[in-house]
Order: sequence, then structure tokens, then C-alpha cells
Amino acid sequence: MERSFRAIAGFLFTAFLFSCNLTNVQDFQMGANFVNSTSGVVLIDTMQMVSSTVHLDSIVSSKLSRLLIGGYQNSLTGTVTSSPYFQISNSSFPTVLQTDLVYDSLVIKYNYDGYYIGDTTKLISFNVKRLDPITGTNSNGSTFNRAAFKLGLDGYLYNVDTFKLADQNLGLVQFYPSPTYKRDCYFRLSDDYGQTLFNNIINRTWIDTLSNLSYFKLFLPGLAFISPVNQNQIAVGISQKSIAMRLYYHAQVNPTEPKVPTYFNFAVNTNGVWYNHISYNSTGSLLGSISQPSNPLLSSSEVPSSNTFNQTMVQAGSGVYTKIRIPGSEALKGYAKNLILISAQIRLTPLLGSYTTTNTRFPTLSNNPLPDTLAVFVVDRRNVIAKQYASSVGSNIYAHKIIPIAFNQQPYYILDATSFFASEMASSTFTGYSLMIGTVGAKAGMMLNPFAFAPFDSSGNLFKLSVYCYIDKVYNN
Amino acid sequence: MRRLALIIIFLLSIFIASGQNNTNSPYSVFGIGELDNAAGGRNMGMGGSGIAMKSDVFLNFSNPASLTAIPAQSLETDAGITIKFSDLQNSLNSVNVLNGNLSWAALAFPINRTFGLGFSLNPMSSVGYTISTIKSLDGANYSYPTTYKGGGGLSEASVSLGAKIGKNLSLGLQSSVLWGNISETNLDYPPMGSTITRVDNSNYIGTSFKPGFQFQSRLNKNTMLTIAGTTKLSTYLNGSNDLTISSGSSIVLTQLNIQNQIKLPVDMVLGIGLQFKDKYLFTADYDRSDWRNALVNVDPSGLALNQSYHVGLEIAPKYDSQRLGQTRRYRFGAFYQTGYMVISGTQISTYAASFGMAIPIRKDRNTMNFAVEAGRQGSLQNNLIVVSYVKLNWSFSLWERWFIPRKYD
Repeated sequence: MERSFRAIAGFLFTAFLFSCNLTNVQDFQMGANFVNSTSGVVLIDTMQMVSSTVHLDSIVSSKLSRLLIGGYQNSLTGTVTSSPYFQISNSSFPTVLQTDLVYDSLVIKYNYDGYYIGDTTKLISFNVKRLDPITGTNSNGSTFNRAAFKLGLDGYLYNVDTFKLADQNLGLVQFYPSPTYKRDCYFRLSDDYGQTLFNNIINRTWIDTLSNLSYFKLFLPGLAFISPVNQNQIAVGISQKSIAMRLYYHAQVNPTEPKVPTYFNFAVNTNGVWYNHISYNSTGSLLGSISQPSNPLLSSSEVPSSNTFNQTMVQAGSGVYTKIRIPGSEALKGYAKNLILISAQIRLTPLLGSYTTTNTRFPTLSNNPLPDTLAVFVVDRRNVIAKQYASSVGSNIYAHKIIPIAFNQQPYYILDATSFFASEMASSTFTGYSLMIGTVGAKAGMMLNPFAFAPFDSSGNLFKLSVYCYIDKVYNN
Repeated sequence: MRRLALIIIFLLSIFIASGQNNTNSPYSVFGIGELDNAAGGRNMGMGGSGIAMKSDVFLNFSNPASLTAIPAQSLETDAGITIKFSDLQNSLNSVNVLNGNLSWAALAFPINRTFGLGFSLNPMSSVGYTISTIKSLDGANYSYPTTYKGGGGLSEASVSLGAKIGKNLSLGLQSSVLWGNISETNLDYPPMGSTITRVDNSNYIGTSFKPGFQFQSRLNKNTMLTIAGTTKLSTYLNGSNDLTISSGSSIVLTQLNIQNQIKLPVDMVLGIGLQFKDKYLFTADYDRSDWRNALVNVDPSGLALNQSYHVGLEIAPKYDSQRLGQTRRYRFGAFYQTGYMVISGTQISTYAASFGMAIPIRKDRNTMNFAVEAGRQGSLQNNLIVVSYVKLNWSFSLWERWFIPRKYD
């Protein structure tokens, strides 16, 4: 009896050792349909998107690397014209000036930064103007004199901001642009103003005064390059760092000796203020009167895509953005019980012909390539920007340009709307949020490039929303 | 003390038998997994047949009515282990696997001249697979890779009571507790987003009842005919599922204690046994269970009427020898099972042949059994798999005299 127990106990111990798998469960390849998938990923590509074009009343255009001069007109969005305003700093003055100095000339100097849009064979012209300090009377009767040219309370200047200009014109600059020209360009300004400035400098007390920047700002708050309103065929970029005003002079010497010209340099104040004032007029374009909203109190105006052949526009400089509303984004969670959002992708295809393709051999005159990325904002029902569209961990999400390898396929943009859908589905209340797509903020204030997004087509490839969800069908009841 | 030892051994068996992962077959993805039909070392050598077997040496827990054959003052125990070599093959790949586990542990003793009582423990089904395949993405005309992983199985612990009614008829009832855990993991690798892991962990428990009978009739002096039948009644298992779905490393959905139910169909077996002296035993069983009435995690169209045919022959050339080791028994058998699953229009059938041997190990009626079963399951049609396997079974049938009244010197 005891022996039997021992035998069985020993046997069971052996069994215990064997009871595990002797080999691991092997991965086995099977064809499709062996297992009826009870759960899996489904594609929902029938959700409606409502698109429109929005014109924001203002965009930030200060402290960018480019000052933009000129204008551009197109049939999609209308006419934009840019006039840069900038502050210059005082030159360094020697403590002792020779008494025999003679004024030569006052010039403005700048260099192209390579950006242009439009027809480079057309003449660009602009007036160089001086900003006016604000003068007035205090409540106690004393007068004040204040440099008004400064950043707004939020630290920015917007494309619609303007400042008072002095009546005096410092000069009319006219040139045929060569945006790829690498050397500095010089244009002579008004000698009247140059002489005044020179006289103030050679007067010792003035030097001491002008050496103080705050006094200099009162004397010369800034300059502006004012484009004429009919300037709409070419715009070029000027490197902000390259701009300087120079006052050339020389010392009176023996006529037999050569003159030694020298100058005072008034460079752009890199710690100061500069921005592009960009005016926009949509009249006559596909967007109609979007630039003149019927209610000027609204911060934006909107044109549904049904009014624009189902196209929507994007333009830098003017504040024109494409808005996409997805009415079903919040209702998606009700589509199935155990529904997990995996991915939501919006595909947007720019309208062929509304941009220029990059061709290094034959660069086109208009030079309007598609940007690599587009900024995306979350806007509320009144088109007020709630936030820049970002992932759950806070990194900004952009729409990225995809260039298909096949030569006959158009480039398009992919916007990952997953984060937007996730927050919409998580929201217990109706948010009314939409996505707004346009030029990246840092570039919007220094470019004028427009293009249009193609409408939804019958094949659904140009303008398309693909929502991938994981649906658990087993317990989905 | 002895009884305590018995209880400990039995509890150890339960521990061993439960929660095992003792198969390695993609077919175990369906239903409750691969069904285990083990009913003793003798039955296994004889093609799984044997509900009509009745023996005072070998326990036959495939039919509770057979317990009435245990002689008075006896304790019979039987336990077996199985090692299974499998070769999985389809048009895409071929894999060799090896599994081993406890096949059963059973003990039985008579209560009196009329009743015999038995306890048994055995795996009822096994789940074990890792399948890599593709899933179609609904709404789009393309597929993405997916992996199914599964493990676990159901175990069965039974109490059987046999009663002798008159000279020729025995009736019996087997009451079982079925329990187990089946874990299913599905990894989806969609072309966008993170890997989605769906883990469905189910715990099942239920009871089942199996009445049976054996009718014996002596045809002549040396020949005994046994007719037998068992019916395992429709069995309900209550399940509690814990579902977890993760996207990447973050859990996005958890549902605990989802109640569900499994219904196993009625399983009817009819068998005959023909015994000539103790030298020849021929058995044949017909097993029928209509899985179309079942309720498992398979679409009803994937379930079928499962019928199996088992035949077996046992020969003991020197059955009357008194020398130890001479009364060896040789067993031969075969079976064909239509299978309860229909995949891609193909019913997953199994056929196998078996050979067994019983070697006496002590003077009294103790035996060591070996059985080999070589079989083939499935089909290569419709991109399915063929599982070719060889099972080696090693078991002991032990007999002890019990309940002897102590005598005073």
C-alpha cells in the first residue's frame, strides 16, 4: 500500500515535470480567413467634411527675418501689397569730429534674401518714408514728444498695424529685381534730409544727444518702404539684417590729395521693431469681398467652399486659411460600443495650377511653390483660434506635403487629425471646434504665396478623410 | 494517514492538471480548444474505444457503469502521462512541436457488492497556439498582419458511481466539475497607429453529468458480449471574461467580468465489447455529438456534427500464465473522428491508429501500460493545416487490497 502511494506520488511528480510545454508554442503562419477576425481595424471614409475659406483680420508680421516689398495679384485670393516698417539704430560717432567734414550723400542699402513671387521683369518702386514721432499736450499743459513705433502689448505687430509717417519723402526707389543677386544694393535718398542729419551730427551737442538711443528714436523713430497701391505684379524679400542707412561724408583736404569718403552707418536695430505691413483686397477674386467683411467687428470672415467652386484657399501674408469642419467627429464614439480610435488622416490636394512646381532647370517666373508644411489651428465657431493644433503631449502637428513617386500623381498634404478626433470624442460637450490650415506662423507674415485646395472629387482621392478605428465585435452589443 | 496521503495526491493531481497548456495546434483556436478523449491507458491503446470494457484490473472511467467490476476490498488507481510529437504543416510552413502532460489520474473502490465509487481527473480540452496571419481591414481593400496567441484549457474532475442491477446490468453516473482558463491574445499591426493588443482572459466553471450502462451477456462458456452506452448531458459552463485592449503600451479599454456562457452539446456513445476468455477483447464505439447545438466562440456555421468510430483489439497470448511478466497484453486500435469544426468549408477530421502494451509489474495485479497513437488531423485544402502527431502514453494501473479487518494474533 505504502509502496503504491510512493509509486503514484513519484509518477505524479514526473507528470508535473512534463506538464509544461516541452517546446514553446511555435509561431505558425496561416493564410487569411483561418480565424474569423472577431475584432479589428475598420476604415471609415464616409464622414462628411465641410470646408470653407477664412480670412483672419490680422496675422503676426513682426520680427521676421524678411522685409517684404512689393505686391502680388492673383485670381484666387485677390491683391496683397507689403510695405515694411523698421527701426534703425544710431550710428557710433567718434568723440572728436574733425571740423572740416563735408556731407556727400545719404543712401539706403539692402540685400535680397532670395524670396520673390511674381514677375521679376516688372519694375518695383517704393517710397522711403520716415516715421513721425507723436507730439501732443499733457493734461498739465506741457508738450510731449514720444516715439510711437513700438511693439504691441502682446509683444507683436500685425500685418494691419500702421504708424504715422512724416509727409516728407526721403526718396523714390525704382529697380528691376534680381532676387538671386548677392551683393548689396544702394539707392540715394533725399539730400535735404541727409544734410539735416549731417548738420545735427557735426554739431557736438547733437552727437551727444543722438548717441542716446531713446533720443535718437525721437529724432528718427523708423523708416518705411511704402509700396504704391498698384504695385501688384512682383514682390521681393529683403534680408532684415542687410538694411542700413548710410550717411557719406569726407574731410576737406588739399585738392591735390584724393578724397577719403567715409560714412555713418545707421543699421536696422536688431533689438528694435520691424514688421511687414500687408494690405489685402480680395475684390475681383474668387473670394469676393472676404477682405471687407459685412460685420467689421468680427475678427474673421468666411466664404463657404460652395461659393468658390468647392475650392478653398490658403495665402500667406493676407491671413487666408482653409477651414475644415467635421460634423461627425464627436459622434464617432457612438458608432460602436467598444470603438478605439487609431488614426484619422485628412488628405488635401492643392489644385493643380494654383501653385508652381519646382523646376530647377526652368524656374517659373511666378515662383509659387507649395510649402513643405502647413500650420494647423483649432478654431471655435467664430473662427477665433483656440490653440495651435498639437498632440496629446503638446507637440505641434502640421500638415505635411507628400510628393508621390509616380510622376503623374499630384503632390498632396496629409494632416494627422487623430489628436483632434481623440479630444472631440473625449469631450462630453459640443465643442464646435474646427481645424484651420494655412501658412506656418513664422512665414505667414513674410510671404504672399497663395494656392487653392482642390474640391472633393468623385474618386474621393483629392479631399478625403480616413478614420481608422479598432472595433471589438465580440462584446460589441 | 493513508486517506490523507490519497487526498494529498489527488489535490496534487488537480494542481497539475489545471491550467495546463498542453497542445500546440492552430486548430485549438476554435471553441474550447482541442478535445481530450483520454479514458485510460487501456482505452488509448485500443483506438480510444472501450465504454463496453469491464475489468477487475483496469479502471475504465469512460463509463461509470464499469465501476461495478472492481472486486471487494480493492483500491484501484490509474494515472498516465502523455508526450505528443506534432508536425504542423501547411503550404506556408512546417513546424515540429513537443508537448507533455498528465493525461489522467483516477482511483476507484467498491462500496459494497452493489456500488463502486470512483474519482478521476483529466484534461478536457487544451488551447495552445500562435498563429500569424492577415486580417482584412474593413472598409478598405487591403490587409494587415495579425497574430493570435492562446493558451489554457479546461479540466474535469469527476465522481463516478456504478451500481449493479441484477446479474447482467450495471448503471452508472459520472458527475463532473469542469473548470479552466482560456487566454486569447490578438496582436494587430495596422499600417497606421500603434500595435493593438487585445487580451481576452476567460475563466470557466460548470458541471456535467454522464449516465451510462453496461449490459453483459455470456454468449457461451468463453465468450462474453457487453453492450454499453453513455450520454454526457448538455453542459453549461459559465464564463467570466476580462477584456483588455491596449494601443501601444497604453491600455485604452478594460472590461472586467463580462459574463458569458458556453454550451457543450449532448455526447452519446454506444459501444460493444466481445471478450473470449481473457485472451481476446474486441471493442467498438460509436460517438456522436451534435456541435451545431453548441454555444462556443465560433460562428454556428463553423460547427458540425461530430461523429467518431473507434475499434480496438486486445490480445493476451499467455493470459493464463502464472509467471510474472508472461501475461503481457497487446493492444491495437484505430479511430476516425469527423471533427466538430468546419473551417473554410472543410470539416477538420482526425484519424489515427494505436498500439499498446500492458506489462505486469508485480505479483499482484499491477500493470504498466504503454500506448502509441499516430494520427493525422486536418487537411491541406483551402490553406488549412495538417497536424501529424505521435502520442506516447505511459500509465500505471495499480491494485491494492484495502479494508482488510485487522486480525488479532
